[in-house]
Amino acid sequence: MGRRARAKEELDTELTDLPPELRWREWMGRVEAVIFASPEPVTRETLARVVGRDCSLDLIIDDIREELRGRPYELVTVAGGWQHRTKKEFADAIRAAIGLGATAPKPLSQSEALVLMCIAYFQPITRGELGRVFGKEISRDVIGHLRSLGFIAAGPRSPTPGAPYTNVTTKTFLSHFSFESLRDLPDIELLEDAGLLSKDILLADGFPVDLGADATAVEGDDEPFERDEPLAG
Amino acid sequence: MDPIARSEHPLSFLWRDRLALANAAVLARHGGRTEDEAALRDHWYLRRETDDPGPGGRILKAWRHLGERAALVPDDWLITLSIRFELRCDDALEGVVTVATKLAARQGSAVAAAAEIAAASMRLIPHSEPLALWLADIVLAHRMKWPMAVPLIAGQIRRADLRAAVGAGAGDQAWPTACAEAYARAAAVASDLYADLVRRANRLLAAAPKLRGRDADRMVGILLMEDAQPAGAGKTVSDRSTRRLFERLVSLGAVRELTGRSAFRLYGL
Repeated sequence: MGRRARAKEELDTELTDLPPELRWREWMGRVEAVIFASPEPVTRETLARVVGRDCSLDLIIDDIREELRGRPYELVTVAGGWQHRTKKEFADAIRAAIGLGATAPKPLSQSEALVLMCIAYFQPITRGELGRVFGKEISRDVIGHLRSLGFIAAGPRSPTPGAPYTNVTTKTFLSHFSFESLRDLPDIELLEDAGLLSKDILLADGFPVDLGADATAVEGDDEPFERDEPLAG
Repeated sequence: MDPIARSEHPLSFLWRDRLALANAAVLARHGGRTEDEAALRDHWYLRRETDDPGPGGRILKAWRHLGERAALVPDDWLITLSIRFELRCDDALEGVVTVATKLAARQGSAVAAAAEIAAASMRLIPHSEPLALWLADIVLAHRMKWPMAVPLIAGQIRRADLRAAVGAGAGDQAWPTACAEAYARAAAVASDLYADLVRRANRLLAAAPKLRGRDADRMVGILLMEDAQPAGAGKTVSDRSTRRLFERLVSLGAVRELTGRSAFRLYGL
């Protein structure tokens, strides 16, 4: 990392010898290239390394977006950064051509999606507490799968026997579901107003919403986790 | 309160941490979360250094950061604030940061400047109350020329007042007045807290010569600066030895066990 950072310092970011228009094009090119080359959303901090000090990244992004109009992919703002994404109307075509991809991991099952949602709302929460919310034990495999997908990570340890790690959602989770922050979770305000954004209350009073029943049912809607949520941007 | 905020005694770090904790607990409640100070402290100290403390813990993280020297550097605000408060780096945030930078650099009434930046932040980014309050404390610290900011306003401001600040006109004095009152209350609370901490610190220092163990001096130093400390193994001593040290400190009345639990205890002044 250190070596790469040093190599970047040598990059001429100000480009003072170019006329303004060419300079702008070069910056646009660099920004788009960096975003294109990255598998993850690229933060402003990263992009700031390849453009001049007085260059407005937002204007650069706007110009790139303008150029991408009509293309099958676009620049979206997710998880505090920018990422190239194919537009969702091409999802069927991509799926028909290459499937979900050999590299794409197993998609979430209904109950995994519910567990993930529960973690998102009530984090940090341990596997044991999740089990009490759902009224049945949540297997380590479910947690393991969510973890391998990068949706959750270890949070603080719970001060209970065994000191289990709690689970918290990650940036990947936000990015995958096109949320910018946890505030974008569906109906988070309703839960807040009902004072339900606390697992303590939840565990003490039992779960008033019908979620526990949904967990065991095979069908039922999993609206919040529909993959083809409208993409931001 | 001014001399306390200027002092760079180790105790002032503990003071800021405690204030940050109290402020974060109020903000967590405002945010619809129900973590209290004890829960936030648990989230903070019972995690590995690199792990995410969760949404409530992230508020605490932002407020502990507020009291650090690095938080005062305007050049870093755009990036650190977007990360800390999970905000998009857009024109609105850039606008808020520009206003904050300008206000921080100018002279004049500190409280008025804090009120102004909070109102500006709420106008541009209405959904992030923590951002507005964080910047208010930072701008205040700049105007007061404190070496580090002090977490103050978030613990005392009424939410309704902050919301009303958005619509207020230029001549409207309701918000600046509410802000000044909040700072007055916060300063009183902070001064009392400091006086209390000084008493506790003196008791700890009085007990320090009676301590044995290789780690005792280092631990006393940590306890003077840190909000809480788990009884884990140190670099040179065992888990058991630290535990014994804490038990002795508690029996001497020099530190408190903060959680009231029989396991996963946290000790502090």
